[in-house]
Amino acid sequence: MFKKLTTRQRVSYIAVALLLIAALFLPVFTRNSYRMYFFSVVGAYIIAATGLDILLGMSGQISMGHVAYLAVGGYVSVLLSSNLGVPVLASMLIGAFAAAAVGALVAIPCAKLKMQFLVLASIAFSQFIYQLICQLNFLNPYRGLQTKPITIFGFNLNSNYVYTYYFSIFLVVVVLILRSLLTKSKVGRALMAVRDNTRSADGMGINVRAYKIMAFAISAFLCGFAGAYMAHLSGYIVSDGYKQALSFNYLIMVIFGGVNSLLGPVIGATIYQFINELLASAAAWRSVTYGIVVLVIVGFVPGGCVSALRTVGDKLAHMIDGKKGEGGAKP
Amino acid sequence: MLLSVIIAGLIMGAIYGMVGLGYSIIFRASGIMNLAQGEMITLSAFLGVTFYEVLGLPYPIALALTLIIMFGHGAFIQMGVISQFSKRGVSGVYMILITLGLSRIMNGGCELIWGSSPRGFPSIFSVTTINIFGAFVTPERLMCFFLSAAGMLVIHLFLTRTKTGIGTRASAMDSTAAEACGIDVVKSNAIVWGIACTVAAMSGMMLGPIYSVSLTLGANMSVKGMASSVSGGFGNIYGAMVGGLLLGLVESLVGGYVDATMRDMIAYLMLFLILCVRPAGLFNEQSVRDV
Repeated sequence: MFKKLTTRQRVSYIAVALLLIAALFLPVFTRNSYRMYFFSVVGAYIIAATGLDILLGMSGQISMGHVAYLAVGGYVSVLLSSNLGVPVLASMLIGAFAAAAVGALVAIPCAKLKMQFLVLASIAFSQFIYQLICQLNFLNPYRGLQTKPITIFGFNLNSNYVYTYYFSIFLVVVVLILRSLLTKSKVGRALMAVRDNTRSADGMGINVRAYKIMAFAISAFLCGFAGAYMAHLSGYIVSDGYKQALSFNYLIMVIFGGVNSLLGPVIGATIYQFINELLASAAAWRSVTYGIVVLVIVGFVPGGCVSALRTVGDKLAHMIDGKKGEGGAKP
Repeated sequence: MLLSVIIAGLIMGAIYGMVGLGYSIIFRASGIMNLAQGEMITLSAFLGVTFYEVLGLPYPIALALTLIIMFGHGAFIQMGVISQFSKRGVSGVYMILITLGLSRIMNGGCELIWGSSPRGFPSIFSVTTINIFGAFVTPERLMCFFLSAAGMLVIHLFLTRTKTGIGTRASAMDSTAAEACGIDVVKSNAIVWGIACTVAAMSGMMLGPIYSVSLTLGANMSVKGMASSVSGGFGNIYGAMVGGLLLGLVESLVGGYVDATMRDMIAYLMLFLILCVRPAGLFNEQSVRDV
């Protein structure tokens, strides 16, 4: 099978494999608990960013309030696991489905709005959810709730963050595989048709409203799952983590990594987390840096980091082909 | 009770309308939803507090200076940033993201210059309260109401009576046709952004004495502004004002009779519901719907 691939494809497969191997062997070099926690959180970010990218990159809509779905996923999962004794993994999934349901409900009236007004509606919805959480006293919004650790068949993953790190990698790989299946499926192609030209998609017999709502639901599902995972990973859930302004961070991850690409959110989330950590003590500089990053990426590198990497991959494949003298078999 | 609630609501509503006006002017002129509008309020409030308190200038001069500087700031943002990006083919969502990036830069910049702790804006008048038909109002709030009304009138006169104002309206309607008629579209866009920034500066200078000047001032106000301009019909300049008054009244009534902590939630819920039910707003502004 490997021989059938073009050189360019081989280059990217090898690069992805190397990335995965590097990720798998990271704990060999550092078992520092904080660093492992740090990378586990990156996993949750990647899932959330992938969710947002399905909305932004694949279906061409936007939400500046995706934190609301993280909040729904997180709180539903925490309440179910703590109060009703639902096993944590199941409660995370239920939280994700709850977020998807909320996303679909929001999308039913909002998917018909034009871009600018979709932005407004998502901001308003997210602010509303945040205010609502602050009003509900049983969520203890200001001091936070304790959450149960993630357990698989009685084995506590939170006991050592190396376990959660591998769990993060597992989740990310599953999500990315599902995402690439979605891209190739009928739904994925329909979403991209809607993105590229709403009217012609409508003319081709694609039910635009239904697919837009579906994109919202899928996106909210992943974000809800990420929210639930984060809540159980960090051990507490507090309303401050769900302010609407934080939605901007997820947008940065997607834009920085590269819109509508499989690896974009992975790269974007990782770099975002590193910048965040480097500038942790300088909030003002962090804010300025993100602003400049967005301006630079949108204005000058519209494809984000992934497009830069693609160029490198093209050149590499070209060099390899040139040495063999086969003549460029560029896709 | 009812009277004082209504008066408080109208006064806040006038300010909300002013904030919403900034969004509507820019959207009308260039179809851009400017998410940096809130941070412009923050910036001008900080500028105002610097002029008024630190440099000790009288309030009218501090106000005038802030307005002039913010006009220049707005024109610079349009000419130096927005038009450069639109030349590169940035549009739609990505233009919104550009304004979002600008808002982050401005917010961070304010924090770097003035620090993160909120500043009190010293009161402007020596009288503490004024009695209007039995309702007590601080003179600062009353001034806000009249300043908003005056600002609204000036903008209305500018847009309908002056040659430059009519030119900006023409280029907002159809920039190609306006250019063919000899209107400098670049200049009129810069003027529009300048006006929007000046409006933000006015609301910043009015909000400063009411709330304290802090980094979150603009972010809190921006949603109120969005809500008021959407409820009046986004892009409709007069609609923004009516929407603002409506929002102010609703908020004030909820705060007075239901629960003061639910005031903010109402603004967001109102914005969301109006977008769901009647996205074109009260005055049925077209340009909102997609397929």
